[in-house]
Amino acid sequence: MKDKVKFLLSTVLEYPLENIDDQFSMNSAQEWDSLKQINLILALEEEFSTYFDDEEIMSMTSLNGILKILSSRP
Amino acid sequence: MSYIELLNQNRKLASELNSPAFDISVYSNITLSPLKEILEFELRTKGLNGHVKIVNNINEPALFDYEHSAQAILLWFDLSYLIEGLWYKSETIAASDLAACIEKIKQDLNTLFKRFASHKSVCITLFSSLPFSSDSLFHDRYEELALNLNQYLRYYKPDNFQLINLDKILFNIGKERALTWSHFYRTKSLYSVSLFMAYAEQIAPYYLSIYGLRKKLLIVDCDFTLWGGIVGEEGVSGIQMTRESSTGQIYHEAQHILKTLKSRGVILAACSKNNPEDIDAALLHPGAILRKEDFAVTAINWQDKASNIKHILNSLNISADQAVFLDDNPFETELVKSSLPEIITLLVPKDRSDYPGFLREQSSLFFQDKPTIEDKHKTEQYQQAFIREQSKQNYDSIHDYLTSLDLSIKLTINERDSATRLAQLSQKTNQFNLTTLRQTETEIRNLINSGEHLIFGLQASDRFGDYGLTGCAIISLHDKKADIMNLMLSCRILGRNIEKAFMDSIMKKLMSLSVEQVSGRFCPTLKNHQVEKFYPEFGFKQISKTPAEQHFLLQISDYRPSNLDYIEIHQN
Repeated sequence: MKDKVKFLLSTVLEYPLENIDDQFSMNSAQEWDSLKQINLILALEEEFSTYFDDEEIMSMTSLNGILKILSSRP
Repeated sequence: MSYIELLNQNRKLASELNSPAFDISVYSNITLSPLKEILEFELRTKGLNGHVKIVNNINEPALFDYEHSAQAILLWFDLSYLIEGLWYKSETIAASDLAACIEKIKQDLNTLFKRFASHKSVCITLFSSLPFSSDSLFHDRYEELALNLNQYLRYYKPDNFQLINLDKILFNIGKERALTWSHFYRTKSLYSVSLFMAYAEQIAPYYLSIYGLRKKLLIVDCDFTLWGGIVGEEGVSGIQMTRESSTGQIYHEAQHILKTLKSRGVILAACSKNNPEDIDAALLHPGAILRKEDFAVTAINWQDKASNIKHILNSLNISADQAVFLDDNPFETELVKSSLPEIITLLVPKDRSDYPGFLREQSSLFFQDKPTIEDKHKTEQYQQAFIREQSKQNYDSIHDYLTSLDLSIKLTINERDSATRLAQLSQKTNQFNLTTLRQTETEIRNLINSGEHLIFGLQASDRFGDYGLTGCAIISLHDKKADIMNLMLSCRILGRNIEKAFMDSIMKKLMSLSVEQVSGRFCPTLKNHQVEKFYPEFGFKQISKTPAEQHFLLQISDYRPSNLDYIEIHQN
């Protein structure tokens, strides 16, 4: 799952995949702004066939944050 | 296609397309960010190198400092945020305050009209109350607001403004799929990726039109595309295109839709495997809405459709990327697509009741910004310019295509269980039928039992499906001589050279029986012209000819086999 999320991050943010490490977050790359965040959430929702609520989205600002929310899914 | 796939494809297309960029600036009072790449992708797949810039969250549309340099401006001011909280406040504020709001919005619209009145391409999205108004019994103020403002837009907009009806797009994909509430309250992002995809698809024809890339020509098949039934088999009285039957009703409506397209400047052409006289007669049918003169060109013959369409394009001087081909047979649409990848091919829906709606949807392909009177007479102009010339056949690509079909035939000999179906075939087949000698089931059984006849049955299949028992040959044997009393194939399997493989197998069988001489006959009818040259192709020599009958003879050693590598033959 981690690789898939990294791939999505790289695609949506147009950011080199090899530069996305495990600590990657909104603070790591200026490409990850609030508008790209919308596209990212839409892509994650589609790829993992799920919806995120408001609170979840607030915490999905880093690779680890995203993985934590996704792993809470059944 | 998933959103991620689209993003990847879009970037790939961006690096591949060499055509100059077509800049579109999108301005909105909500968040439309995903629309950027979705619209770019939609346009790039259609050959227009769109570069989309989106400015989100504009609070005061009338005061905003717009850039006018983009080739196209797209305005999408959502009703919900024309005034912060309008979707709920509209119901609770005093009527006089609401009236003042409406006045302000209209003034803002006027400002926009003035600002962009001389821009060459402006699209503006009509207001929709649907996301926030769902009570069908109660006419709420929000709904009234949308009606009122849309009316204003329609009435006062400058000529160069193209309206986009968001309600229709919302209806097409449904509210559930269209809206993203979880994003709306956080980021003013109301619409989903699906909605943006539908929106991009709907508006693309407008951009293609102003960039000169619109579709101009619609080439249609005839049987099961213009009417129900096969005119060559059932005759003009047997085909259905009037309101007397449900199938007829569907084709009647389809013809009306095609006629409407013609009146909007689309050039129509017909391409069908048929005898020209049959199609002429069908287009003279009292119920026919489309007449022969509605078609700029017709290519009605037995050649493959890819060659015919190339011929049509050449003669009209229209390129493949400006043409659309409509047929009910996937064999034909894929053949054409494989030979002319730029052409758009449309397949008549399997469920015929979906056909009229499908045509209405696809009509947008031909959208034209402003049709001129001249456009409406295009067909006549093209007819005048059209000169008949034999098309050059493209054997290479046809061969490749046939190879891709996984064609296979299965032969049975003297199989009693097939007699019913073979009799049917013998009664019904008119076009690929060499003598039209009709046999009943009993006659076929008797021939099988005689011990002096070979009754070949042919079953054909390809990757589109199994066509069942669709070919038959009846052969009588005397010593070392064989006479082909009749040979026929159902028109459903024509165009695949199956008859050649069929003849190869028949001859192989006859050789194994030490037959030395084979005779055959062709008896011309109104419908079987296409097999006139059948026997000579295999090395048969004509030995006599009367208007009613031509006799052919072959020394079996002179047989010219076709040895097709793309048809697999199974013999029981």
